[in-house]
Amino acid sequence: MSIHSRRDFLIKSGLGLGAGAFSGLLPGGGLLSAAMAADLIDPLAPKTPHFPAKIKSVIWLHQNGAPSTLDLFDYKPDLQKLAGQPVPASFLKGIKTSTQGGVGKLFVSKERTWKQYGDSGAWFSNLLPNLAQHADKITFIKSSTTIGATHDISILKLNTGDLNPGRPSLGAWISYALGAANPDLPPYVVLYNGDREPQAGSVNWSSGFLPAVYQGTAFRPGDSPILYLERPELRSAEQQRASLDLLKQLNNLGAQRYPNDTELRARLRSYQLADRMQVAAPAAVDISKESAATKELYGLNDKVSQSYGEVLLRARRLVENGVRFIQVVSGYPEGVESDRQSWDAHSELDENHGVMARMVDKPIAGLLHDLKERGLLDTTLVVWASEFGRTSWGESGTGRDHNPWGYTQWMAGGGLKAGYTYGETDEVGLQVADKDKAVDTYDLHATVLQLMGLDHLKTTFLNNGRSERPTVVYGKVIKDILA
Amino acid sequence: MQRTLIVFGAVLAASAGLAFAAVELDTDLMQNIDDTNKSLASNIALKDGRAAIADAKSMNTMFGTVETYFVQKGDAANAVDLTKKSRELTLTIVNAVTSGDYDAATDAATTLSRTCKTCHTFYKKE
Repeated sequence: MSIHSRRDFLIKSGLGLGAGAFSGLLPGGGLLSAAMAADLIDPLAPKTPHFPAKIKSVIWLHQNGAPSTLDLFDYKPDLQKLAGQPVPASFLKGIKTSTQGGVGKLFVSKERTWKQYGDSGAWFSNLLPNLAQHADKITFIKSSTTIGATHDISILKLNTGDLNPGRPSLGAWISYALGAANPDLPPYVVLYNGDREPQAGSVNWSSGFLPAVYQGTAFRPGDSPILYLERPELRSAEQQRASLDLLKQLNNLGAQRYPNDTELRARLRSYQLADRMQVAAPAAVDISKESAATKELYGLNDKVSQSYGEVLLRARRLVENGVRFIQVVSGYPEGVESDRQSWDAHSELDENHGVMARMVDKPIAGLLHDLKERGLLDTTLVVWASEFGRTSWGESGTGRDHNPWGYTQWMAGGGLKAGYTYGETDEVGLQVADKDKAVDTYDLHATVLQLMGLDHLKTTFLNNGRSERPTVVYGKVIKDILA
Repeated sequence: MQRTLIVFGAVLAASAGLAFAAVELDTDLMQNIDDTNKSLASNIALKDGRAAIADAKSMNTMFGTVETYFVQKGDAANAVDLTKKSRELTLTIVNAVTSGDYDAATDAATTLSRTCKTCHTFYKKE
C-alpha cells in the first residue's frame, strides 16, 4: 500500500472486517458457534488475553539498515587490540561468510570511546550519550541472531518471522489476538520519519493470511496522518453528516432484510470507524499542544533529531490513546545529504552512524524518560530491533558488512529485569558466544507476546487447514529476562 | 588372466554394492522433513493425535536416513548427534501425544524445529 488514502482504508477495513466475520475464527483456533456470531461482526472488539498482561502497548523501534551495535553497545576490548589484523580462524568457525564484502581485517573506529553507565554498568559508546543515561531502564539482548540475507528479506523476518511474504507481522498477530483497546483508532499503527515510506514496504505491517483488518495502518509524517482522511473543504460538516446518516439508514434497511449477512454489518462498522477516525487520528498525533520542554526532551530543537523526535512523541500519544502496537521505522533526517539514508554503513561508518545516532539518541532517551515520568513505562514495552548487526571486520576500509551471527537488541519497560544483560558475543563481537543463549526473531516475538499476556503457542489461526502461530514452528520465551 | 578377471569382477561388484548402499541427502528429503514438521506443529496445535503421531513417526524414519548419511559421510559428529536428538524428540512427541499431553508435545516439537535450525547453521548448503 504505497498511498494511504481514505479509500484504501475503507476498502481494506471493509474487506478485512468482512473476512474476519466470514472466517469465524478467534485466537486459540477452532470454529465458533452461531451464538457467538454477533462478536464476529466486530473483529476488533477487545479480547481476553491468555493470562494477565504485563504491558498494554509495544513501541517497536526498527532501526532500519542495521546499525553496528559493536559501535553502540557491545564493547570488545579484544577487538580494539586485534584491530587491523585478519580475523583469527577460530572466530569464523561455523559461519558462512558469504556477505558481499568478503572477510576483511578486524576494524575499529578511531573516533569511538566507551564508558559504563548506571548501577548496571552497561557500556555505551560516545555515539549515544543521552540514551546512556537510561542504562538502568534497559534489558539488553547481546546474543541476538537471525538469518542474514538482503535487508528487505531480513527485515521481513524481523517483522513476520519468515523470509517470504505472506505471514502476518507481529503487530497484526497482537491486533488479531487482543482487538482494539480504543474503538476510535486502529490497534496497530506504523510510523516513520523522513520524506518517504520505508523502503521494504507495507509487507512488513501486513496481516498476511489473517483478515486484512488486522494489518498496520501507516500514519504519514506531517499534519495529515492518512491521505484524504480530512473532510474536503468544499463539503461542510453538516453535509457529510447527512450523507453518512443516509448511507447508514440505507445499509440498515439492507441489514434488516438480510439479518444473516455479517459482511454487511462488518462494512457498516468499518464506515463508522472511518468516521470516528477522521476526528480521533489527527488528534492523537497532534503534537502542537505539547510543551516546549517536552518537545526539547524529544530533540525537536535539533534539525537532525527533529523528524524522529516528532514520530516518537506521536508514538507516546498513541500509547496514551490505547494503541496496542506502534511500529516505528527509522528514516533519515531532512536536509542532511547522503547516499545512504539508513544505518547501512558499508563505508564511512563514522559519518553515517554519527548522523543516525544523533537522529535517534535524544528522541529515544526522551521517550524513555517521558514514559517513566507519566507512569507509562510499566505498562509499555519499548523494543530496539534491527534486521541484523554488522561485522567485526571492516568493509571498504571505513565501514562494516552485515552480521546475522551475533548482535545486540534491547527492550525496556513492563515485566522485564531492568538494567540487565542477557547473552554475549565472542571476544571480537562476531558470533553469539553461547549458542544455547542465542535469541532469534521468534524468541523475541514469543517474549513480546508473553508480556502482552499471550501464549505464542496458543495464539493460532487456521489457514488452509493448517494451524499457524506467530512463531512459525520455533520460538521460546526468554524467561531469564522476565522480572 | 581368468583369475585377474574374477578379482576385478569381485571388486566391481563390491564397489557397486557400496555405491548402492550409500545414502544421499537430496533436497526432496529435506523439504519433506520441513513440510512434515510444519504439519506436525499444526496437528499438535489442533490436537489431532492420530495425524500428529503419523507425522512424528514419519519424521523419525526420515531422520534415520539423515543420520545414516552423516555417519557414512564422516567428520560430522555434531550432525549425527543432532539427528539422534531429533529422532529422540520425535519419540517424545509420540509418547506425549499418546498420553494426551499436548503441551509437552508442543514443547518437544519446538525443540525439534530449533534442532533442525542448529544443524542447518553448520551443514545446509546455500
